[in-house]
Amino acid sequence: MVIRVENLVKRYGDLVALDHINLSIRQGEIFGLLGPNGSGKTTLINCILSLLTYNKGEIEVFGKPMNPDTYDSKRKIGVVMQNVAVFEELTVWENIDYFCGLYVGDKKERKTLVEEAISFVGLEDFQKFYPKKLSGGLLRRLNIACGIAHKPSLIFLDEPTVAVDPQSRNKILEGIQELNRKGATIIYTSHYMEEVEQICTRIAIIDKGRTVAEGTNDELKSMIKTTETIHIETVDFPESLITSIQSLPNIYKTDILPGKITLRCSRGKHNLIHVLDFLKKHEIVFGRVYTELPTLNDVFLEITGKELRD
Amino acid sequence: MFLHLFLYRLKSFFRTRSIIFWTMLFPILLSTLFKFAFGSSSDILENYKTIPVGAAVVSENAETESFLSILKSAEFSKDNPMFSIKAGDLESSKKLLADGQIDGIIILDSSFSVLFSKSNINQSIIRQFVNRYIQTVKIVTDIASVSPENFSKTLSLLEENPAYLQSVTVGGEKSDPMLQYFYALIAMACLYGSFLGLQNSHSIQANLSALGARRHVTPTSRKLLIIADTLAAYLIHFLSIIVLYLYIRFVLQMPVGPQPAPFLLICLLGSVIGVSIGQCVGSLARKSENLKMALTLGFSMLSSIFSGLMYADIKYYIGKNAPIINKINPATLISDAFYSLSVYSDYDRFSSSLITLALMSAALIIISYFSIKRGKYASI
Repeated sequence: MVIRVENLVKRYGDLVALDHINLSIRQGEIFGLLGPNGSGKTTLINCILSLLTYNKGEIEVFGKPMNPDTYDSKRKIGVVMQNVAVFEELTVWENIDYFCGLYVGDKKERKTLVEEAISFVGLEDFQKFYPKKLSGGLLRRLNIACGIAHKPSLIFLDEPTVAVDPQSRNKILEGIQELNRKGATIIYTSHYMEEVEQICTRIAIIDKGRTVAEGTNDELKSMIKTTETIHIETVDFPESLITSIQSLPNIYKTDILPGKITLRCSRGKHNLIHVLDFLKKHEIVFGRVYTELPTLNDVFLEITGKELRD
Repeated sequence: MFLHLFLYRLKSFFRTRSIIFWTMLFPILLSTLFKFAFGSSSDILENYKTIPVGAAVVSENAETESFLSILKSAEFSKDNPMFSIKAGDLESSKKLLADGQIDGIIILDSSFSVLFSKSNINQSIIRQFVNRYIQTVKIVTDIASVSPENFSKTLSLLEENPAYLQSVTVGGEKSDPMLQYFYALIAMACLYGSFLGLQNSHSIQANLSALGARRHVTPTSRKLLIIADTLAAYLIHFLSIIVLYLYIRFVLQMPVGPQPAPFLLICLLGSVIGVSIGQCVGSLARKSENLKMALTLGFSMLSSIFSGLMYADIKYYIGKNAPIINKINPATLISDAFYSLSVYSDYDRFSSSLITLALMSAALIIISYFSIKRGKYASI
């Protein structure tokens, strides 16, 4: 176990930011922490990193209790902060060299690591640029390079793709998977479910300081009732037929919106065929019909009653 | 590791424009303005030009002859006569005055009146000279009639020491009162080290910046980070004070710091105090960086004003009415230490100022170190 968090409680006055949260992260995982803004993801990360005090609980990293002066463990950790954390007065190369130098003392070794980090994030053409001259995406890449240049075995990435262009986002996600393939354990926090679904091997969904669900992508989706969501675009759906369509096999919830009907289906086969037969039988004019597999947002919605995107 | 941190911090400070401006360029600019505004009192007399004056002889007698000879002999300094005299009648003198060829007319009649077409420093000098002559003549006349036995003694005194008040130094080099402003300016520049200290505290503390948080989670000890950043700030700021000192002394030609070693020692302590004040302010409250910058700037300016930056006598006024302020105001302590070097021939007063500054430095270093060195935070 790389990280073990047991019964962690953190309060800010009357606000309980972390409410008896438990977490176990294994070697080699890309562990996703998913939750809306204010759910406690960053607070949890900061407690694990020994930046924040906490009221109750235990935290172990690499099998040892984590403290501000647990330098052996810190040497193996890389952190990419949610906010860009670089020196505005140093160039791209200098920033990466500085932060790598906080972990690696040997100058020759460090030079190699810095060059590799620059190549890894694709900043070869920007080595002599100052941070204020970089775009948001490039700045995020610099932020990542500063956190991983020393090749840590445990990497924390706290919402690394906020306000980032799609090209840079893809580059970042590919880079994270590459780091994992090379042996790093990754803790990835985000409120973008698509990213978490794409790269994480195991996911914990957090809300109001508590873990509401934990498991692989498939395990999480199997926890909920919805296995399929069918969307029908229709001009005019008679109200008299709402009860009828809802009584079709496996359909447990119907949402009627102007021009659109959404049907949530539980486990079962041929749900779409049943729906199409129904529409044909009642001669209902419709446009597009498409089906969606459940998302983590559906998981979150079913468990908490609200959307991930607040 | 230390060298890595130290050198990068130096580089970072050198490239921060606001710091270079406030700690180096602004004091140089201000000292230049001071030079133009005040110069040096010893320069004033040497740089003064001879004043063209008209002597309109109305009634020619022994007294007017005597006055004319005194007028001719008056000088600002050696080989720099005070007046160039154009003697003539009143009408021709008035014409010369109207044409601007003379700055004033001394009418040589029974009352020695003066006539000007405008009022500025030359006219004041002419007026003062004539008034002084009239007063001296009256003194001599009165002594001759009332106490004739003291007449020759009075004449001797007037010849030897025409100035009844003379400034003397108690030791050391000659004291130029204008230097007080430059000492107060250098003290202010020392306190501007607080900007570097402020930046240090923000970049080290995790609850003040993302950069502080990132540096906090590394395996480099906080003690090493703090020491490297602090020493870099001291060095950068001390160098900027040296540049200021050299500029004032050799470019502006002001005789500050006649004894460079002790002078620079005070400058070093001043830098330490300035940077440490910034680190203390930066670390003690979780407020915005702009607010803390305003606080440190306000404190530096107020401290400098109280040390005599704008008005030299304010320090003495404070010393009389609220002496504790002078005893704890770092700018006053620094400028006093500078002044004591140039006025006193022994080091007693200098040593006293030095010890107070050293103790203040030590206290601020300890407070700022322990306030920054926190391991964990309640919130970030």
